[in-house]
Amino acid sequence: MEWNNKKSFGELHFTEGGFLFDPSTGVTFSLNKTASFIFNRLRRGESEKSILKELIKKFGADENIAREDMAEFTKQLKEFRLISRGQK
Amino acid sequence: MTTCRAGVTGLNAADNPAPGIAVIRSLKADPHWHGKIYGLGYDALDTGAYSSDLLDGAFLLPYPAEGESMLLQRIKYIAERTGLEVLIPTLDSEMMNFSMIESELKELGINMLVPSPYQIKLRSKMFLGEFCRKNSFPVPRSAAIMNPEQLNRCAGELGIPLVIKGIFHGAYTALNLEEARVYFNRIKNQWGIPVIVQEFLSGEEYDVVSLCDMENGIIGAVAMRKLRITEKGTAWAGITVRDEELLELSSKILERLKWVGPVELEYMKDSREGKYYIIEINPRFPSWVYLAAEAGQNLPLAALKLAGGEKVEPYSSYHTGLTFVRHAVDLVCPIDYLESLTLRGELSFNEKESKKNKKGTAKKTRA
Repeated sequence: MEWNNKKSFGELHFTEGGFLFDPSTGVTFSLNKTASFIFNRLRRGESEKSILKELIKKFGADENIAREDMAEFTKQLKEFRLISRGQK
Repeated sequence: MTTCRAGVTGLNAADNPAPGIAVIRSLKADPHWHGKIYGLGYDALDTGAYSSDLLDGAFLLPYPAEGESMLLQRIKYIAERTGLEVLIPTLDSEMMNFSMIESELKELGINMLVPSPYQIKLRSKMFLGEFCRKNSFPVPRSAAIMNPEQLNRCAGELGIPLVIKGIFHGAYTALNLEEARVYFNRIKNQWGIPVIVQEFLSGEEYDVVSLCDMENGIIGAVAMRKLRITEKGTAWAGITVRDEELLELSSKILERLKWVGPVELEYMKDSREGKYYIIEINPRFPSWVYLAAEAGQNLPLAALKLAGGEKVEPYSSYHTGLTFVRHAVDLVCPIDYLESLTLRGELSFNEKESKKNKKGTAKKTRA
């Protein structure tokens, strides 16, 4: 499964500190460390599987909890129309 | 045109700031600007008239209700004193008068880039709904009313809350009929009747500032999302955005209006459908236009050049994510500034500044 974004990640302004700005709507978001970690990798085009693996390794999280967190975060990104999900 | 003598109206940058100061700041932001700028106000306490760092002088104009012939007479006097070449009017309430005397001013060698009286009327709050419905542009339902008794019918047709708006300025959201009556009377006393009653839409507010040349070609457009809004509906903080849907809609509206000159298009993005509704079209620059200049489109300078007959290449892009926040500043000035504006209706900063340097700014007095 891959993440396609409506606006392309390049159009979104994102800083390492976790500040995200959508230039088409003017809406800003504050991302916590985990969300920033996921978002940064999503915009680099990494797969969900690979990000999950890194997430567990870096934060020492339980696999099921990490999977749930990631699903929740990506759901929110979709709700805010920052990305749309597409199947390959 | 960067060496011309320009007059800019709308100096009262108070709680509902007029756009004049933002227009002047934009002109002066150009590194090639060497012209002179005269502020044109209506009251001796119009705040911007005291900006000695921005203006070369200030003059008071007759109130718009006194009509275009009084205005023309006063502009003639100001032109004799200053050699005025270009005028940028920035207030809704005066725009019709300026548009009416455009050709007389041109004969005097004073150029403007303003919409025709017909265009001004077409986008007015009274006719905006009709114009939008006729051209299939999304617009909230509204009614123009003359007395508070008509509010009951409006509430029945448009629902509650209601947005109560002045014909030129001011917008309040009334949560019940009692509040609607209070706002009706407040607006009636300030701006007169009719008062506009509009359906309330919940969502985010967006603004587009644009400029069209004499042939209705769009020279530039910058969109902004309002981040903070005052009780009077004025943006107090905002951020530049670029949504092609919003810019395209604005372009279609301006094309249909056959617009000439500066314009502000105000939108509400409905929170349920994500659809843009046109709320207002103002025939002038907005008070946040300096943000557009900083974002890469100096539209006031482009307007000045176009008015002076120069060719201006259209802007194609601007920086997004640029934010403005507004804050109030106290201007401290000697008593002769107030005296000059009150007694003579004019103030020259070159004279005053040299006097100030010689004499000091104020005398101490004992209570």
